[in-house]
Amino acid sequence: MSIKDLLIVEIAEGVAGPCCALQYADLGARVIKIESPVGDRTREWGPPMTGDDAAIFAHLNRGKESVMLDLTRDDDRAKLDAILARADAVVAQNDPGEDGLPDWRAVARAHPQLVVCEIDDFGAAGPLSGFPGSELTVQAMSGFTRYVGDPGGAPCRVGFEIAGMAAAMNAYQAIAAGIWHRKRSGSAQYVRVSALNSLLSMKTILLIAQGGDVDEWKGFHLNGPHWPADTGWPTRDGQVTFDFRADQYDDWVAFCAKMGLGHLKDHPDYKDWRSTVHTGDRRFVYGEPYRQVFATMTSDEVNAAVNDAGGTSLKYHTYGEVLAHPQVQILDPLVDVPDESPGARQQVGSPFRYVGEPRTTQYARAPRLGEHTDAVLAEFAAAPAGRRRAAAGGGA
Amino acid sequence: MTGPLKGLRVLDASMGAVGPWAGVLLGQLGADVIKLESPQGDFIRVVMPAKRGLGTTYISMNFNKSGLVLDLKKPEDRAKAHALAADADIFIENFRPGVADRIGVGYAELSRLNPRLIYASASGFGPKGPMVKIGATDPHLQPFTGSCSVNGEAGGKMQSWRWYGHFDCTTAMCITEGVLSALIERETTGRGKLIQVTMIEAAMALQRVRMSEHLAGMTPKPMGNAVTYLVPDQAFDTKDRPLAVTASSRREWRALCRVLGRPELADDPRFARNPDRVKNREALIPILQEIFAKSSAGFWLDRLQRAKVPAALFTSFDEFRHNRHYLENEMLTIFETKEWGTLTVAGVPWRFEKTPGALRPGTPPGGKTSEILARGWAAVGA
Repeated sequence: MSIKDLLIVEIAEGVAGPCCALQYADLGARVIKIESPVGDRTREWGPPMTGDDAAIFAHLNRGKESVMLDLTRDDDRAKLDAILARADAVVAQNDPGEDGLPDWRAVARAHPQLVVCEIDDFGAAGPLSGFPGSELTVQAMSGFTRYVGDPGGAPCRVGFEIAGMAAAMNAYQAIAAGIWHRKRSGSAQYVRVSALNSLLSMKTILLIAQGGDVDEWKGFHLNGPHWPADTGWPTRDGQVTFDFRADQYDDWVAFCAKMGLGHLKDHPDYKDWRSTVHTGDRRFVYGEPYRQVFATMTSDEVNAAVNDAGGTSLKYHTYGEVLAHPQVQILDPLVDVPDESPGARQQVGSPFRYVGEPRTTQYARAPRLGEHTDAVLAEFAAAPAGRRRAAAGGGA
Repeated sequence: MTGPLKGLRVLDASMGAVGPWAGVLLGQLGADVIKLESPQGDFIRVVMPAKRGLGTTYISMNFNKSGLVLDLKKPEDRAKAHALAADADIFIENFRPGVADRIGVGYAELSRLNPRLIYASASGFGPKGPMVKIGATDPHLQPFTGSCSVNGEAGGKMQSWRWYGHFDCTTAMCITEGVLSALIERETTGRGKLIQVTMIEAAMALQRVRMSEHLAGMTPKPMGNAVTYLVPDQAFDTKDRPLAVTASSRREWRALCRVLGRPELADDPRFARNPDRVKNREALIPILQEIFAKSSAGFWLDRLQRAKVPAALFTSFDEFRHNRHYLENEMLTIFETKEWGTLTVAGVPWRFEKTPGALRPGTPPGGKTSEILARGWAAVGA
C-alpha cells in the first residue's frame, strides 16, 4: 500500500475538502472529484480568473478528475456508489442547503473498506449542526477576528483561509490515520472534522492561557486583543521586525550606542529593556526612540544595522518579495502545472518533502466541469460483479 | 479511548511549539509519545504566562506525552536514547541545523539503528541558505512570508497578529501530514523516511488561496473584514452590532436575497454570479448594508441561519466558553490537574467513530524519567 495506489473520492466544494484531496493528488494518489451540474463554487471565486474558472479553483484542484453527477437522481447515486465501492477514502463536504445529500455514516457502513471523512463547518451536534458556515463566520466564532484590526474599530478578518486550511489539514490527517488503521485492523471507519473545532484546536496554545488562573498576566502577548494594530516597526519605505533575544543585552547596548540611543541603557524605563523591543505591550509606549530612528532609515538599512549587531530584523514582505527572496528560492515552494492559462502555471506545492526522494514535478491542470465523466463512469461501470451493494444516497 | 495510531511510538525531541504540537496531534491519535528534554529543558517552559510555575505554552504543547530528561552529551544517556529510538516508529526534532548530528540523534545515526524510523526534521528556513542562522519564530515568519500583506484595513499598513503561535501550529500540522503519509508508505517499503518541513513552506501552504490570486496576476490586498474574491463576504452593521455574512454559492446568494426581501437582486445581471458581484461590489454593498441596518444582528442571524446562509456574530473566548453549541460538540475540554489546576483546551479535531482517541494532560517535564529508564516504552501510555 502506497499513497500512489490510493483512490480518493472528493465530494466537496470550497477550500477544506478540495485542499485535503489536493495534497493526496500531490503525492500521486488518484483523486476523483464529484461535482454537481453547477460545479464547485470556487470555479466562480474570482476574479482573478484563469480561463473560464477562477484561479482559486485551478490551484486547489490540480491533478484531479472531474465527474459530474446529479445526486438527487437515483441513477447517478448508483454511479457514485460504484465508484465508492472501489475507493479507499471519500472526502465529503456537502452544502447543507442542497437536496439529495448522502448520509455519510450509512455510506461508511455500506462500504467497509472506505474511510469516510465528513467535513462540516460547525460540528455534528448542538444548535448550529446542519448550518453552513464560511471562512469569515468560522473565524468570527472562534475569536480570530480579534487578533487583527483596531480594537474598538470594525471587525477585521485574518486575511488568509485559516479555517478552511485547518479543516483541510485535519481531514488529511484523519484519512491517513484511518487508512493506516484499516491496514492494521481490517476495517475502515467514519470520521468527522469541523472547521470550527479544527481552528479551536490550533488555538489550544492560547485557550489554555485564556482559561485563566495563571500565575501572572504580563508577557506572552496576553493583552493582545486590546493593543492597537500590530504593524511592526515603520521605516522610511516599509515595515520591519526588530528583535534582540533576552540573552543579548550586550548586543542591544552596542546597537543602541550605534544608533545614537546610548542613553537608553541607563534610563529606568529601559531596565526591562527586552520588553521595549520585538513584541509585547510595553513596546507600543517605550519603543518610541527606536521608531524615531527607524523612520529615517530604509528597511534594508534597519535590517542591516540590527542583524549586524546580532539581533533579528526582517522585512514585512509582499507576496512578490517573499517569492523572490533568495532563501525562498532555495526551498522552491512552487510547482509547475501545464495549464492553458498562464495564471495557473505556477502553484504552491506540498508543504513537506521526503529528503533524498525526487519531488513530483508533473501535475495535470485542474479539470473542466465533468471533463472525465464518461471515461470514469465507463471504467467503474465495468467493475467486477459481486461487489457489495450499497445505497450511497440515503437521503436526508 | 484508543485512537487509530494505537501501538505507534513517538520519540519527540523537539522544543517550543513547532515540533511539540505535532507530537500532541500524534498522541491524540493514540500513539505513545515520549517528550525528550535536556537537563536545561525546553526553552518554552519559562515563557509567560505560567500556571503553578510552568509556562502554559509548554503545558499545551506537551499534552499526551510522558516526560523524559536525558543529557545527550553524555555517552550513557545517548545510549539510552538510542535504545528508545531503536524501538520507536517516529522521531521528531527541531534543533538548529547540525545540532542533531552533533549530539548523536541525527537521521544517519538513528536510521542506521532503526531503518523503519520515520524522522521528521523541522526548521524555520530550512537546512541551507542565507537565513539559516536566524532563529525563526512565529512573529518573524508572519511578516517574512507575506502573510501580513493581506491583514488589516484597506489602504492601511501590513498587520501582524497580536497573538501568536498559529504559524508554529500550522507547521506542526504539516509535520503530522508528512509522518502519517510516510507511515502508509512504510507498509509497502518497510523503511522509514527523512521528512523535512520548514515554517516557510508551511506558511505558503497556509496562504495558498491568496497566493493563487498573486500568481494569477492580481496580488490580494487587505480589505478589513471583506475579501477580494468573494462578494458578499464581510461584516454588515446592524441596528446593534456587526454581523458576519457570506454568500459563497449561487444557492446562498439566492437565499440571502430572499431573506433581505429583495429576491430580484439574485437575477440582476450586475449581481447574478460572484464574478459579477466582485466587479460591482461598490454598487451592491450599500444596497445590502441599508437593509441590514434596519434590524438587529440577532434578527438577521435567526433568519439567515434558517435559510442556510452563513452568518455569525463576532465573538471571543469569554463569550463562547459557555456557549451550548461548543460544549455539546466537546470543542472545549476542561481538565482538573493537581500540578496546574484547571486547564481549558480545545477538543480533539477528528471524531473517529471506532477509534476516537483522546486528549489528556502530559506529565511535568521529565516526569516519567525513572519509569522509562526502568521499563522502556512499556512505561509510556495509558
